[in-house]
Order: sequence, then C-alpha cells, then structure tokens
Amino acid sequence: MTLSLLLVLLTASALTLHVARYWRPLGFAASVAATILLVWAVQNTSATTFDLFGMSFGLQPLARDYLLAAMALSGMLAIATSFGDVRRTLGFLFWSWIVWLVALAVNDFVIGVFAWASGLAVIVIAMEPRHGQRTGGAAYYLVLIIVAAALLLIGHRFVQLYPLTPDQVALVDSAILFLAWGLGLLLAIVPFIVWLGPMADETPLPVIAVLVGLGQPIGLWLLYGLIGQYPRLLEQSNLLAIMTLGGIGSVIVGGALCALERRAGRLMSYAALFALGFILLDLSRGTLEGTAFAVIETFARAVSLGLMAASISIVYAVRNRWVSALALLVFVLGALNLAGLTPGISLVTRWNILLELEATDRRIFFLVMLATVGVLIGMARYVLLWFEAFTPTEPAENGLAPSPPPTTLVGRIRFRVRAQLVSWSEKLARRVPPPVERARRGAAENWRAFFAALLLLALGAFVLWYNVTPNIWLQRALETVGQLEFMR
Amino acid sequence: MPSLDDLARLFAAFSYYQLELGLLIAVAVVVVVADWRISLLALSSQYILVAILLSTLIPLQIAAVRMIAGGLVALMFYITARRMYPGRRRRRAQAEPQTRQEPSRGIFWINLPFRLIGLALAALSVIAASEQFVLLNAPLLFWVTGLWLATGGLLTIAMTRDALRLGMGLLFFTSGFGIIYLSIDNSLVIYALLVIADLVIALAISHIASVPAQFVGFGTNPRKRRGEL
Repeated sequence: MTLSLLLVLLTASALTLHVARYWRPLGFAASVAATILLVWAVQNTSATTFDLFGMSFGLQPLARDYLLAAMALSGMLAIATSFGDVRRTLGFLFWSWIVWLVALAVNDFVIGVFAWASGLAVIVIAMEPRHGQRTGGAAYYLVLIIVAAALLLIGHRFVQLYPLTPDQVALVDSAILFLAWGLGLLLAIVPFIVWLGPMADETPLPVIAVLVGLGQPIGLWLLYGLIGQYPRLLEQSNLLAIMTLGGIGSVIVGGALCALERRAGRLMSYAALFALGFILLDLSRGTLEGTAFAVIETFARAVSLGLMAASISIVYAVRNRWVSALALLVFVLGALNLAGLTPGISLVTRWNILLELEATDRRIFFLVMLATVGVLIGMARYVLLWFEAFTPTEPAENGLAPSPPPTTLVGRIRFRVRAQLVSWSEKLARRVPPPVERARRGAAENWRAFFAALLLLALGAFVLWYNVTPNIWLQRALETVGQLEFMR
Repeated sequence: MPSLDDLARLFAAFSYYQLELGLLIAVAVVVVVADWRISLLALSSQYILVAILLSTLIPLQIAAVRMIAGGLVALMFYITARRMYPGRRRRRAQAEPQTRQEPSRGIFWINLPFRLIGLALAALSVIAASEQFVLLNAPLLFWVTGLWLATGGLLTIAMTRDALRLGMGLLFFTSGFGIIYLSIDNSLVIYALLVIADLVIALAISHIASVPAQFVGFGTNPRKRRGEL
C-alpha cells in the first residue's frame, strides 16, 4: 500500500466517524471498522519513498511502528467514546492524523513543523471551552502552538545559516535556544508547563490521551530528523544537557503536581509530564540503547494514557457494576504502567534510569523516587474517589415523558415520520414470539456493557502481555532506532 | 474590472512611510479600541498593507494571495462576531430566557490608560530590539515592521479576555513573523504555509468563540470542575 492511499483511507475514516457519530450503534460499528482498516493499512504500507515538490516522503520503520500503535490506540479511544452520550469528538481522534502522517513521512523540517502544528490546531477544535466567547485553556493552547511553531522555524533557519559563519557558534547557540524554547512549549517541558492544566480542563479525556500521548512525541521525531540532517546540533551545542535538566525537572514537577490533583484530565496530563521526563532522560544519554528505551517509554506512556482515558470514558457511559469494576482494574493497570511499576518492560526501562541516577547523583535519585510516590498518591486518591462516585446503583426507570410536537414545519414532519416508524415497529414487535423479543430487548439494553467489557478485557490483557514480553519490544526498538539517520 | 496592473499601480502609490504609519495605526487600534467592527477593519487593512509591503519581496500575484486570505479571515470573524455580539434589534428579539448566563465582562483585562501605556512600552521595546539585534539578510524596514506586528499581536493576546480579539492578536503575530521570516528566507513554500496557517487559526478561533460554554464536565453539580468525580 502506498502512502497516498493510506492518507486517503485516513481521511475517509475520519469523515465516516464524524458523520456516524450521530447514531450510537453506527458510531460504534464505524469505530471498530475504521480501527481494523487503518491498522491493517499501516501494517501493509510500503517503505518506498517518493518525491513531491522537491521533498521526499517515506515511512521509516520506527515511524511505521509508531503509526501502527497510534492507529490502534486512537481507534480504541474512538470505540470507548462511541459508547457515550456525547460523541462530538469521535472524528477528531483521527482528523489530526492526516497531517501528522505527513509530519512523520516528510524529510523536511519546515513542512514537518507546519504539519505537526496543524494537527495540534485541529485538536483545538475538539476542545470544549468552559466560558462562552472567553479565552481559556483552548485559546491559549492555540496561541502556544503558533508561537512555538514560529520559534521552531526560526531555530531551523539559524541552523541553515550557520555555514555562513563557521568560526562562530553563536548561530548554533541561538538555534538551540529557539528549538528548545519551541519544543519545550509544545511538549510542556518544565518550566513551560503553565498551559497544561487549563488545557486539560477544556479537553475531553480521549482527546487528551491522543494529544499528549501520541501528538506530542512527533515533536521529538522532528527534532531527531533535524539532528540527522545537521549533526552539528548535537556536536557543537549542549542540547543533551538541556534535555537532562528538562527531564529531571519534568519528572519532579509532574510527580508533585500529580499528588495534589483530583481532576482526571489534569491528573493524566501531569502524569504524562512525569513520564515525559524519563523519555528526555533516556534521550539525553545519546546512545542507541538510550534512544531505544526512550521509544519504549513513549509507547508505554501512550498506552497508559489510552487505558486511563478509555476506562474513565467507559465508566461514565456504561453504568454497570461489572463494567465499572473492570474499568477500575484497567485504570489501575494504566496508572501503574505510567508510573513504571508494572512488572515487566516498564519497570526495566525505568529501573535502568534510576540505577544510573543513583550512581551519579543520589539527591536527584531520591527526588525522582519521591516524584514516583507523588504519582502513586495522585492515582490512589483518584481510585478512592472512583469508589465513592461509582457505587453500584440500579438504573432508574426511564419512562418516556410525552413531548409536545415541535413548532417548525421541518420539526413537525420529522415528528410525524418518527411516530409512524415507532407505531410500525410496535406492531411488528407484537407478532414476534416473547423469547425472541426478550432476547432482542436484552441485546438492545446491554450491548454497550458487553462490548465495553470486551474492550476493557482486551486492553488489560494487552498490557499484561506487553509487559511480560520485554525482549520482543526491546529488540524491535533497537532494530528500528538503529536505522535512523542520526544514529548512522 | 481592475486588472493586476491597476493593482500594481495602486500599490506603487504607497510609500514606505505611509505603509509603516498604516501598520502602526492598525496595531494601536486593535490594542486600544474595544469595538469589534473597528478592530476587524484594522485587521483587514493590516492584511492589505502587509500584502503591499510583501509585494516588494515576492511577485505581486503571490502577494495578493495574502489579501484574499485576509478577506476570508475577516469574513469568518465577521460572521462569528455577528453571532457573538448581536445588535440591539436582535437582542430585543431574543426574548427566550437562558438557563445560565455568564456575567458580562469587558473585552480587555485592563483599562484604556494602561493599554496605552502598554502600547507605548511595546513600541519602545521594538525600537530598542531593532537597534540591538540584526538578522542576517533582513532589511531594517522588514525587521522593524515584523517586530512591531508580532509584539502588538502578543500584547493584544496578553491583554484581552475575548476569544475573537485573541484571534486578531494571533493573526497580527503571524503577519509579523511572516514578514521577518520571508525577509531572511524568501521561500514561497513558507509563504503558502503561512497563508494556510492564517485560515486554520481563523477557523479554530471562530469555533472557540462561538461554541457554547461547558460549565461542568460531567454530572449536574455546577460547582464541580471538569473531570472531578
């Protein structure tokens, strides 16, 4: 399959989901179909490159693996969203991927930055401002996207201009300053984290998972693509030291903020910041193993956020005792995976960094451990709140109150047509044998609980399997990272 | 019907000083004046003046694309603003009571005298920065103009609490950035992407400004914050 065909499939899937969201069963079916189709399409996408307008487009193995995980997670979040009463954001879980695919495939930093920023701007449309007409987290996030993209472009231009003054490193220093500033803003690396909370307040949870878990790492991909083109960025600057400082700061501040938080969106965002710190620390080692660990951490972070967002979305949508218990279990698994405490590969990657910190600076090691405790406290508080909020209750009888016919002409026509359809279906139902009718009603009432439980079971099983098969993931990460240009 | 030659003659009639003065006034209007109609007029005139300025760097036909994009952006903002701020007649006609209404607040966080002081400080910082720093290949005129528009845009963003005004500030910022970037890298790809970015920004801002408020994330308790159980 070619890249252009994948782009067409992505667009078609996003459009279908956007339209199908109005009717819940259709939204669910479309989400499942889109997920299967896109995962299959990405798996079969060829690695051949093609040129367009002087730029080269092609999916490297690591980008393809990332896209595969992204499609699976976005699809899973779409399925979880389709169970709910509010499904406005269903299409937005895929819209951004149309331009993010370009960002992952193009070999040009400028186009990549524009594509990345456009995808983030599209996500802003999925946000829900708390105050009508007023500026809030969504509006300020849009401002940040534009300002940060501008900083990245200026940084890139400075790197390009450096050969004009080869005896001075002022241009490289300025480039690093602007690149660090731009990426720091968009990735919310400490100290640029102010926007994270207000943005989370105005964003639905599945969208937060896509934005923070899957959208943010594309910035790191672009940075490493640029380093591959201009190795002097690493050789003649202190970029790795900046990453180390940003990583340590993000871990500590993320952990501290988690301990104080009780809102789901903010909790997820701050926990993601905590995990991002470890990704930066892995990258700052500048070795093949370090980068492979960073890739695994990025994947684990996205999976954990997806699990948390899906479980909370499902528990709000499906009021069922068993589903609620299962969702809580999946939430805890996701939280532990994000904190790096699930036995398996997340523990291995995290432990690696901790051992290194323990050997180099024991004070930082203790601070990082405290931050991990902070994340656990935040998650534990949320779980306790969960127990209080979702005590099993019997669903109330939902008697349909007679509603007056609408006043508009179109409304009246729609009202009449619907009434006619209902009367026909009732007449038909009277002819159906009672056992069949009971089974039909049961399926109509419980299909969401059934499929939600199935999805949660699949997610939980995947995390457990993923954690107990560390060798597969580490080997794959080492293989794909080794093929990157900057590593060569 | 006017041709491109007529447009070129019209553009040539403007001197650099007139363009600078026009952009100075446009930024000042968006920062100082609260009325959305006047600000929208300033935004539209900014697009025309920047297109005239850019026509000295890039071909006229391409510079005119920015004017067309500016027209589309202004149209989007006009439609949004008409929905957000209905006229007196429409306000009277809207008799239906709303379940929950936010208290009406001013467009800006601070009063007029402070906005004027802020504008003066921004102007001073632009003059100081343009004397202190020089970008490679960038003519002083473009450097100062770009800085002025970008600083004015950021000032507007910092001082407003209105989503539409924030969008105007953002578009002033992108115009300023576009002038600076095009003066150091005369790339048509960047120019085209900046024009597209303006349209995406206008779309997102129109959405943010017109979407109804979400007072609570879940549940029925209005005191709850979003995401709280």
